[in-house]
Amino acid sequence: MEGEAMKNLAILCALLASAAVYTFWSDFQSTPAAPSQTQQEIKISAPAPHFTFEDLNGKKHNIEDFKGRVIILNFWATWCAPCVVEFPAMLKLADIQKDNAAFIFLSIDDNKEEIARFLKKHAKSLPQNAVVGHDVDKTVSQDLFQTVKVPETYIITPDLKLADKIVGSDVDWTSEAVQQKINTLYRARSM
Amino acid sequence: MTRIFFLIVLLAFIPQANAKDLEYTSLAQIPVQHEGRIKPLDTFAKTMLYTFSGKSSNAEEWLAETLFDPATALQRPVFRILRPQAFDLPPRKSRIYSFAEIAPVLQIRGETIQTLLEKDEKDWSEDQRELMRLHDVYILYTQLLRSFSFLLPLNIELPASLAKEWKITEEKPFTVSEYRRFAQKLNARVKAITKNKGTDLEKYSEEERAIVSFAMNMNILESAGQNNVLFRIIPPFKGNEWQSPWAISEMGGGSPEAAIYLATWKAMAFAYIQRDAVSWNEAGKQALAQSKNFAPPSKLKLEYAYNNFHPLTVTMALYALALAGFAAFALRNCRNSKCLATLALAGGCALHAVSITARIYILDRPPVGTLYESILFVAFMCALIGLVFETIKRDGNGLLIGALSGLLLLFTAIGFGGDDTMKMLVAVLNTNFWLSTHVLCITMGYGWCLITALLAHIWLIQTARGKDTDNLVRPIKTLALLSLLFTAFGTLLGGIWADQSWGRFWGWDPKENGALLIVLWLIWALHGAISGHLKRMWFIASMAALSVIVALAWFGVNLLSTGLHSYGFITGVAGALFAFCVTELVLIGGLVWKAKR
Repeated sequence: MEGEAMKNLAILCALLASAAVYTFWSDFQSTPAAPSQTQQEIKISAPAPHFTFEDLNGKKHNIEDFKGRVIILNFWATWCAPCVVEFPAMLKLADIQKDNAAFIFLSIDDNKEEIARFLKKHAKSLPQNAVVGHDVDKTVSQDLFQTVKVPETYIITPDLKLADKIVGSDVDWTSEAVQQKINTLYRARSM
Repeated sequence: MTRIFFLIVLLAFIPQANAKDLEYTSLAQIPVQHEGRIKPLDTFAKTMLYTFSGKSSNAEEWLAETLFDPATALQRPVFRILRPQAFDLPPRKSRIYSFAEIAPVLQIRGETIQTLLEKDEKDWSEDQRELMRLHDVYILYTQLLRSFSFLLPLNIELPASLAKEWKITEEKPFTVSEYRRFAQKLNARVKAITKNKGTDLEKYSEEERAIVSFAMNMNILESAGQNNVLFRIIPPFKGNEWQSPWAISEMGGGSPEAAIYLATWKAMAFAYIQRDAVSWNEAGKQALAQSKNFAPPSKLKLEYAYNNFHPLTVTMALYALALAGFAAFALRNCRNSKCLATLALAGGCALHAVSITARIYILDRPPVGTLYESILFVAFMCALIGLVFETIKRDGNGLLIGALSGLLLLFTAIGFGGDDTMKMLVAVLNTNFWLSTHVLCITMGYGWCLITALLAHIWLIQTARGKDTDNLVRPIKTLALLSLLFTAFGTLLGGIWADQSWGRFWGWDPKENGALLIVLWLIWALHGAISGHLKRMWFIASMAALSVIVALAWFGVNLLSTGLHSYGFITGVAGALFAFCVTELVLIGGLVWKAKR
């Protein structure tokens, strides 16, 4: 009987010890917030919607035309103060990144004349890799990208996948970090 | 009160719908982020409806109506009011009233509410407490009613010139979301009108007046939706914070993926409004399919099944059956009944284990994190120990203690479930390591203690009836030793956790004292028995009284509302706990007295 009791006690202790070891092991193995990582991966690999737009000269553009370079898609308006503030910095970045990135400035203004007036005053000449378009009736901004308030900027990979989204203008567009991001995405493009 | 005005105006613009015979299965499984957790809409709907009415049946239907047909939802009685007479509401057997009925009650008492908000809650009378509770649930319901209004078609007349310019036709319903497309244009029109003709409406033409009035109405509608973040159905582009439809437009949380998803939701809303069952079911399935990118569908499906299968209710039924089987066996010595009781207890244990495992998978944490979960787990422990005891002894006592403790504890758990039994844990508890060591150890200890106490009760009853009970003494001692092992080890682990979390091993906190009380009680009784200072009768009686000690340590200390274990504080069970303790002590005392005679 004594021996049996000792055996039972040993089994119990072994069970407790293995439970403790397993718990330690699983606690250190598991990485918290795994679902968010999965989500993040899904977001990064989500394709950008296909769309066309007209520039101020009435020329039609397709997002496919910009494939092969990192696309900075900026939704803006001439009446939006933060948009106006960040516009020159984005043009400067476009100038620096002329080989790696293309810039699409899609305005949600009501008419083209306001955009033309603005450009005449603030940006007489645009870098070659930048184009200003007019999102008539907000079909691209609101319907496809769900952008209601401006400025909002999407960073799209060279193979047309969404990489990041920046809400507002609280970004230093000419900073090392932004340039590094563009360069990384450009280098990672599928050859 | 301005908010109430906004809401009533907003809802007046939304057409009514009649939506019977629609299928809600897809809607019920769509994910939503609520109270820090991604859950199926089924859970969200049940939690919400329970908060308002104290019931949760047909919750999906109710949620669909509230979201997509708020004008009808205003009239549906959902608010359970404990003291309707205090608010001059018409007496009603169900004591359930509609939003439309309670809105005036709160409007009249607006000043009282403001005054009470500035006072300490402790100084509120019972009626005042009920008024403030009503005020809180009213605000919550208001949020829910408005949560989808961003995408619902508005029953509002557009000035002819605007409708023509914006190309709004009857086939293309006008929504706040659609309005956003033209908001700048409308503002420009209003500015032009006021610039030309000033602010005197008399000087405006019919059309100009209509435009200005329309602009004002749209402003009101937009204001009503501000800060509406309750219904978080849209996953973010970045981070973990899901967005509500209104927040998407207010805070820039949208994305192309979310745009497609919300378009499907809009299709659902329109189908609901038109009572188009085919389109509704199709849109629901599509939304569910799209949502699979955002949250693991296996967990959502399992939670949906858990909500609707009610495994713990079935478990209770099996325990009750086991108890009935035992009664038949005890009274008529029917072997078949005993066999049935054993099967029912085993089935109950299996289903109980499945329920707890499902909860572990859904919540991604060890089984015990809340008081409710501790009761579920202890109930399982007790039932399982009873089953094992029966398998070894085969005298029916295992059936009795397993089924009775399982049933009573699960019944007690109902009272602690509240509106949501799968709540997120407070930060200090959010550690899988300590939840699976200290907490499990302590709760297992409670289980061993309760089984020991029950067996001691059986010993006392049998002895009082003059029956031979020698065969029960050894199991009681063994169970008491196991109780001591688990409670003592659990208490020590708790000290180490407290040292890591709060910087001290021991702080004479009520919860710590409660745990220590069980350990000391067991040590005292066991040493008394071993040394011969405690006679067998008194040792068994002290083991029977272990139920009282455990009840005090488990629930009693939480009533004190003091100490660092604030996440476990409860109210409203003092009377029941007192009654339990007194009954137990009287019963044990009575049995000892009778047994000694």
